[in-house]
Amino acid sequence: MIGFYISRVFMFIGLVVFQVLVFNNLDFNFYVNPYIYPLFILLLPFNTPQWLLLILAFALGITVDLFSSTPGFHAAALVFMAYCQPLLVRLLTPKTTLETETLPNIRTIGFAWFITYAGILLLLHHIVYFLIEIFSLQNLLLTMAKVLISGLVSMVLIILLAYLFSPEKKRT
Amino acid sequence: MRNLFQFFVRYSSLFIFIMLEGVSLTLAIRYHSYHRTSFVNAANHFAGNVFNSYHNFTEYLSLKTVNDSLVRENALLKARQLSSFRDECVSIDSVKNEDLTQIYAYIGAKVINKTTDKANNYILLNRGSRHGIKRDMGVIAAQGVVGVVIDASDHFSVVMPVLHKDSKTSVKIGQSAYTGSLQWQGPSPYYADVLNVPNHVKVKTGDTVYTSGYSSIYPEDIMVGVIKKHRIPSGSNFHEITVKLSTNFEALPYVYVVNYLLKQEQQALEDSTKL
Repeated sequence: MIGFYISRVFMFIGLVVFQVLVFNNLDFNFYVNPYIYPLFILLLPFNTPQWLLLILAFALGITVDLFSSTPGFHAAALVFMAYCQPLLVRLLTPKTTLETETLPNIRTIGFAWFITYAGILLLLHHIVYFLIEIFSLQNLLLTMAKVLISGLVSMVLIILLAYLFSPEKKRT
Repeated sequence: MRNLFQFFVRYSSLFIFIMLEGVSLTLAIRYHSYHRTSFVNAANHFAGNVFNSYHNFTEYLSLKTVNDSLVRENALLKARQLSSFRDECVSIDSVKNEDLTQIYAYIGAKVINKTTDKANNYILLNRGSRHGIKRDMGVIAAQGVVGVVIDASDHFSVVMPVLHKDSKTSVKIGQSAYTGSLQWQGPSPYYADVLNVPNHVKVKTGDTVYTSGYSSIYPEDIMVGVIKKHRIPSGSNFHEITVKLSTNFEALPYVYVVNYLLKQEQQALEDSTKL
């Protein structure tokens, strides 16, 4: 169990480093700003208490903010996403599955389920983030284009990383 | 009382959510509403050092381009040296070198972090107030204007580049005396708009745009870019001009911070006449 916590601490740091030093520096295009750090929240066990979920989301968001010179943008988006996560899980899963699966492991829980789960939450995160970043309702079309294009790129990256972070183990 | 307690326990996550969201949104809205605020003060030392060491690590990757640009700039400076000029003046009361006063000094700085693909971009430099950098100093690069310093800590400073929605630069078209205001609405980091140029001014595609030197931020005649296209919207008194920026913000290893040595004197005079 201690090993699990330590691995999550490393995952937290790893995702921040990856996000801040690699993805923030890619400068592809105005429309392509992928954000991969929400993966940390997506992969937390389903039985994490909600208060802990929210505090972890705030901590992760504000850390990314510190390195991106964006006060509170990432924190606001990630806290919102973390608040929606348990609601969505309850909506998507029948009760019996939830009792047997506590970790959102992409290999065991199913690709289709994970895509729906991650896709909806990422979309919410990106909508909140880009609305705050652009901070104007005038160019809503531009904002939505940015949300969709960046969201799609983030989604692909997050699925690849989810495979990386999900240990391949046979369930008994 | 017990009911109240239960109520709080039951909705505790909702309260935590509202509290955390409130804190982050307050930060975000404050950033957007106060002109030229930056987040760097709370975070600068730690974040600045991380970016600095990361930059030291990756710096050698761009050495070739940096060398090329330095060589080009050296050639330009050599051409401007006094020894490259011959005194053609034959009259006795000519301007002597002793009459020249230095009014601009430059502080070289390295870009250690930057964004170019956001709605509001920023640049982080590895020099700060300890090296003489202050708020509202202009920043230029070898190719043209870059932006304005909005915040400086001991060792680092933050620049609001032209690629920011609050950035306004006073520019002039070619060598004419007509000035306009350079602004950027995105999304491309290569183009910006010049506003407030009256429609009777003759504007051609390919004209060069320079800084006007009115704002005491940039020296006069620093290159801004070249006019890409222009039109006069029907019924408007002003041109709509798109400029291809001469500074390539995506590859910007070194910049110079402009220290206008007469700034205090100029400002003191301006303030005293405003009474």
